[in-house]
Amino acid sequence: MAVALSVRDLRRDFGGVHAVDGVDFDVGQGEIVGLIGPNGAGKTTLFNLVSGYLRPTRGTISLFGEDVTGLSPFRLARRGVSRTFQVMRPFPRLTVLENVMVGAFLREPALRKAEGEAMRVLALLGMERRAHEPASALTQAARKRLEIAKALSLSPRLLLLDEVVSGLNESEVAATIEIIRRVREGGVTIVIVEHILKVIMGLSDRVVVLDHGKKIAEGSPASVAQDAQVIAAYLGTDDA
Amino acid sequence: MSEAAAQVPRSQRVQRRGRAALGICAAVAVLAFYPLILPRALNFGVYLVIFAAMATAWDLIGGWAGQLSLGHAAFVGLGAYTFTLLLRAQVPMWLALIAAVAACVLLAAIWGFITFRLRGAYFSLASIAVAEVLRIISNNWTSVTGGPEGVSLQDLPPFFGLDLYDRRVEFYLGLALLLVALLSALVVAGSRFGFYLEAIREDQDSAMALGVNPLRAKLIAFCASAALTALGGCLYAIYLSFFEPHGVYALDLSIQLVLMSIVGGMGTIAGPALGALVLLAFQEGFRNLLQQRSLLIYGIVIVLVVRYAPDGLSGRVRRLYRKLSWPSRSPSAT
Repeated sequence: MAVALSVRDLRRDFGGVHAVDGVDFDVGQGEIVGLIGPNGAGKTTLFNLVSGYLRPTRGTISLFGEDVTGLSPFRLARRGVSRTFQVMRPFPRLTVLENVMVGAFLREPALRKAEGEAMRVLALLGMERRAHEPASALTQAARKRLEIAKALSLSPRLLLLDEVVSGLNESEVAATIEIIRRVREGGVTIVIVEHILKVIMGLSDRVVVLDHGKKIAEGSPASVAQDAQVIAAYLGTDDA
Repeated sequence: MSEAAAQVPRSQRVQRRGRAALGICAAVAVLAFYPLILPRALNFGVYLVIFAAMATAWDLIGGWAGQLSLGHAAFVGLGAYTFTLLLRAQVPMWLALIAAVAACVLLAAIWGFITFRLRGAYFSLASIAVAEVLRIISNNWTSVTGGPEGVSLQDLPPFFGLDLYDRRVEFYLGLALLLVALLSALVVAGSRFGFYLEAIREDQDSAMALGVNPLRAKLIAFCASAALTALGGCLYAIYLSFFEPHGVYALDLSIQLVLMSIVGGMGTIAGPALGALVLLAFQEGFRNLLQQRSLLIYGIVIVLVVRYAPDGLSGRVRRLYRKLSWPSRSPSAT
């Protein structure tokens, strides 16, 4: 299996805090890898490093064998890295369709083609009926879905999903999981951060566990759930 | 058109563009008769088309890209001074025009490259400083600029056989510039570039995640805005035929362009020109009554607009139009 994402000795300090502290892991092409850990474990920092929003203090990130450490977010986006934001960031005064078109323009510079591509993505997410609503009018659940739509509009090779399920009701969760599965079937590699362990365990091929910026476990969902260190991290010292 | 393409619902923005194109043609055609209908108010007409063009130019960076420049007087002044000083040095007019545009584009490129790293209010504050620095330079570099006494265009050579002292000629040149500015906005509105500018305005981080290079897009918009404003500055110099640093580099002038866009509707094609018309008409109408206190009128108009048309007059007109054309099909959104 080809390696889509490879992270080596990745570290990011904020002042004296090692938010991400020497993390190594690989993600194979077409894999879904779950990234879990208690609050403050460094999951979002890791996403920000991989998507270019933060520069690593040390270490390397490679994408399909190519070193991409320190590249800016838009250059990474052009190389096929796409992400959602935990705090949703729609373009409020643009319509849903126009939001998704911004991303679709990356592969389809012509207006009509970008529009067609954006509608295709919206249809995949069951949002085509809301295409002409302003993004600011969407409900919380619909905004989460729009985040996924925007991320998919780039036709990414690597998709980073940051808590796209939390806060949704049960049927919405099921629908989102179904969408993620379908995206993976299209050959996209996925790394997902999620607090709801049931979702992570059900969806992921492999799970990486972070605690205090360090990788404390890695393996199949079942083996990680048995891991003593993981249990300690979740149930032990923290308020969780 | 293929069937597949026909099935794709058009984004509202793109639908609007067709109407805007018609509107621009109609408005410019009507304005073309202005010198015949109101020959006595030609001064006002020239002023109007020049400022409408400059407000439209401001909106490219201020409205579409959301970078609130409070220093566009820098381009008006640098354009006016470059043009005038070169003419006085017997440089041919076409060359002086190109030099004025080039100087402003260069200024925009350097200025943008440095200050587009700042976001929000910091960019706006820095932009005030740029215009002020240029004002102070032209005020003190007396040997070149004439200093606080200003500079005058004594004899204007004919421009392609046209007499530039004729207000009608000035009017049609201004109208041509307005048309170019409106067409630029029209192109932006229906292109990937325009979407990128709006994405940057709405959320720069999110735009970057979608492959948008914000610095590059803002620089292009700023340089285009500077070029059009510089041409406005050249026409303004001809119109005034005598000006001083306090006039062309004034913060008031920068703010005036901003207010025209806000009143008319930021990030819209025709909004800034509409705003220019409304504000200048009010200013002219109350001139005798209020004399120098014209800013009072601006205040009143802005309060009214913010109260009754918060997204600008053009948004208000659009809603009215929609209501009149499809009374039964009211839009589900907004």
